[in-house]
Amino acid sequence: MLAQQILNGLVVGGVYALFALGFTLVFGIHHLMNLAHGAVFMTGAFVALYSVLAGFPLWTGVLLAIMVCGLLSVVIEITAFRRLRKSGEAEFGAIISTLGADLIIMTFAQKISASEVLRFPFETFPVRIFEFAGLRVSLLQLFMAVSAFVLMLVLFWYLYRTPLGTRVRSVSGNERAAVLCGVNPNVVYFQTFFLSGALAGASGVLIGLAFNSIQYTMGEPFLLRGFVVIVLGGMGSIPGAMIAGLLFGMIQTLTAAYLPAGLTDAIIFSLLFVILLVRPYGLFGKETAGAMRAER
Amino acid sequence: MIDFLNTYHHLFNVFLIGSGYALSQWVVMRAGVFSVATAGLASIGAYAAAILTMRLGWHYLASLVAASVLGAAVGLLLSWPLARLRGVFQAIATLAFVQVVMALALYSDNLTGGAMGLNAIPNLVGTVETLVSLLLVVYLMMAIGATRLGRAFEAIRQNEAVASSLGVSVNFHQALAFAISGAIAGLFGGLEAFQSFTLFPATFGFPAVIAALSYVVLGGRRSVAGPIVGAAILLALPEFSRPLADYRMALYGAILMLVIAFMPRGIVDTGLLALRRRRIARSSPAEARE
Amino acid sequence: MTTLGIDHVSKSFGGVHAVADISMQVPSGKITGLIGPNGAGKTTLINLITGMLAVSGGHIRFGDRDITQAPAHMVARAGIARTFQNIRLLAEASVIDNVMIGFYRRETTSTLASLLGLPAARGETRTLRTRALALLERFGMAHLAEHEAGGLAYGHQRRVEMMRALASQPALILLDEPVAGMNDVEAGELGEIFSGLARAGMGVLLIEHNVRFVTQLCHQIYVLDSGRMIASGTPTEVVNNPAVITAYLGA
Repeated sequence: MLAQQILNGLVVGGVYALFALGFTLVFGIHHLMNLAHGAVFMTGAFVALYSVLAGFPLWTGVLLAIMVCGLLSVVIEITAFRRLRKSGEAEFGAIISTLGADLIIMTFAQKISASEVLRFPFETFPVRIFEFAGLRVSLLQLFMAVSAFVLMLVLFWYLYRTPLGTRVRSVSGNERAAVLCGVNPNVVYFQTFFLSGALAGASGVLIGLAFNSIQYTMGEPFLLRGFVVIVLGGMGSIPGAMIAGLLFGMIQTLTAAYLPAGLTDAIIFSLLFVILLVRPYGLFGKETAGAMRAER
Repeated sequence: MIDFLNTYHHLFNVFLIGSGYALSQWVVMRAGVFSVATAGLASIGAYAAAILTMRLGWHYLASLVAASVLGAAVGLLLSWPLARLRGVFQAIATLAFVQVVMALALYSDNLTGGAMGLNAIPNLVGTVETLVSLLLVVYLMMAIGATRLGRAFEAIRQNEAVASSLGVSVNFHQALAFAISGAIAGLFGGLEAFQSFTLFPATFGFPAVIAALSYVVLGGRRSVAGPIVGAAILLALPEFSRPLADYRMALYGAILMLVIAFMPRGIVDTGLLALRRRRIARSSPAEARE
Repeated sequence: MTTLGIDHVSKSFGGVHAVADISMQVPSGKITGLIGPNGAGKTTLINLITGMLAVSGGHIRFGDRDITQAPAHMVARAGIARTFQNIRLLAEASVIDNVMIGFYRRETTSTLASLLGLPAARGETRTLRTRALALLERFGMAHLAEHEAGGLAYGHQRRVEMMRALASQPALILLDEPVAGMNDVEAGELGEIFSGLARAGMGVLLIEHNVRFVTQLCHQIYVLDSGRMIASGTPTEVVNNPAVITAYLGA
């Protein structure tokens, strides 16, 4: 039923929003793309899963996943991005370098998991369904929606209400000027990358719980879809990532529900292509975000 | 001995095809376009060639030509919307294109066999045809470098505004680069089809995109030899030891990170640049300090 | 003899006027000057003429061709060359490669011939190389032909840019602050070259800060301030114009 699909779509959309937020945080502030974001996402699911398998309660696994992914993201910054900051080809270099990091992380996961598809033990998250107004909502869906909401609130509060966040935003505008004002860019980079990774890790755990199919390759399709979200919302736009995430969740769920299964991907990526054609800076991106070539 | 030749015969063919894809990737980047469409264009070429020969009975040479032309046409079509986008966004758009091609190949299983693959493709080409094709493409790429096309590409790649101010039409040349890239990708896709018993859509997905890009990044983005050397190294390395083969993906990843960090121009380009600088320093030691 | 005619040209970004209602004539065979304080809109005007920016109003004519809407490469093909204020050489290429690309609009080989590497195409490349070397000789830089353009001294880089602009034998050349940062001797040498170009029939539009340099060379000077033309006339007239003096010294 339509309303049910929309609900499902919104819940998944919330997680897409989290993922996109993490990605867009780095792009919006440092103007660099982190293609290893999908691998960090996958790592979140893995850490949570293996914690649970090792006997820890789920909430420990979740916290651990967020911490580990935050740190992993910082490691990626140090190894893949740092040298590029001063180079003239930072954009291209960032793509290749993070692609490399992505491959390395994926290989680790592949070896650890022996390429198998893993699942959470039954009832890791209590299975409870609520019904209201003719709609069915599972406890997990509620948890996903609430988590996404809370994490987004935390992000907003951090970026717009704390001195740390202000410094982060100042670096985004003009790193040189910010440095001259006493902002330490390395501290800023640490924070933004940690946050970015934490968000990716959180989304990984949530998706891992939701679809219960954890594999070392799960990052790639999510990253590709993440691109659609980010472009739709506008590269570097925080509110854009959120709204586009929710929108995309609905689009994906509805497409999968009402159209032939095999076409979902074709439609989603054609959508991406069309957006880039018509409005490359997305719904909320600034025209000056650099999507377009210089006039004439 | 026969085993050795057989194994390395196959690897050599893989290398030849990989070099072809690498050159397709290389030529667009030469004109300053950050496109990764090669995998998608190769997929179109591969399926087109196989289907034309198997379903319509075309001679394999005709199919190969058709595959190349189709690749060029699609490449040309792509260039039009991409002309408005800048670097990173071109990459995302062409990545989306690759995904769309893969999704359509999976979906149209009447035509392409879908996920189960297009099976029983006749083995119509061997090392000779592939080598000849590669040599032909290399000749054309070197010709570009020695003529006004290469000069135009290079100017556009380094500074579009300057190129325009000198009378170089950026749109025309980038469209041309796309078409050439598509022609090469289509041709080698067809060659790959006629050497593989089965074609799968997934063969031309993200891993293929990474492969072509890696060959060019490792070898060099300017010289014609760059992508070929890159392909040779990345394909040969896993052969040297079991652990390297097992960790092939991580190996590629590490190489990409190291190259960008320490030798961003790529092996061949860095080497050529060093040679050129040494030649200049030796010929005019006083002026070299300029 | 082709004159560049700028007719009530304006450009606005959003509501902000970068330049408004500019009219000027740049005849061939003479050096025309364009001066004004920083931010007056001189470079914007150059970008409008060369097609890098779209005109918001007015017309630009070159000879009898209307080039108002022409894209950058078409303006270049019409015979207008320019240098850039912040030197824009192809840093990774050699000096001679930088000069050779300057010949582009004059090359006759077809795209197909180039793609196939036909003898005609390769022959033209060889010819161009010879001509580039000749040009380098004229500017005293033949010994630096193979050096990377990005590593040259400032003065040399300026000269390479000049050679590149001249290589296409333009009918009109727009010089955006060509002697910035040079001492009087170097500037004088370049000034000689500009005069020679004008004597040979080329039109020259000279944008400069160095007012003395401009008054020595130009037959006519236009003065911009805050996007508007505030004065025009012979060097003597302009230098004594109170509005010009105010603009440069501040109120």
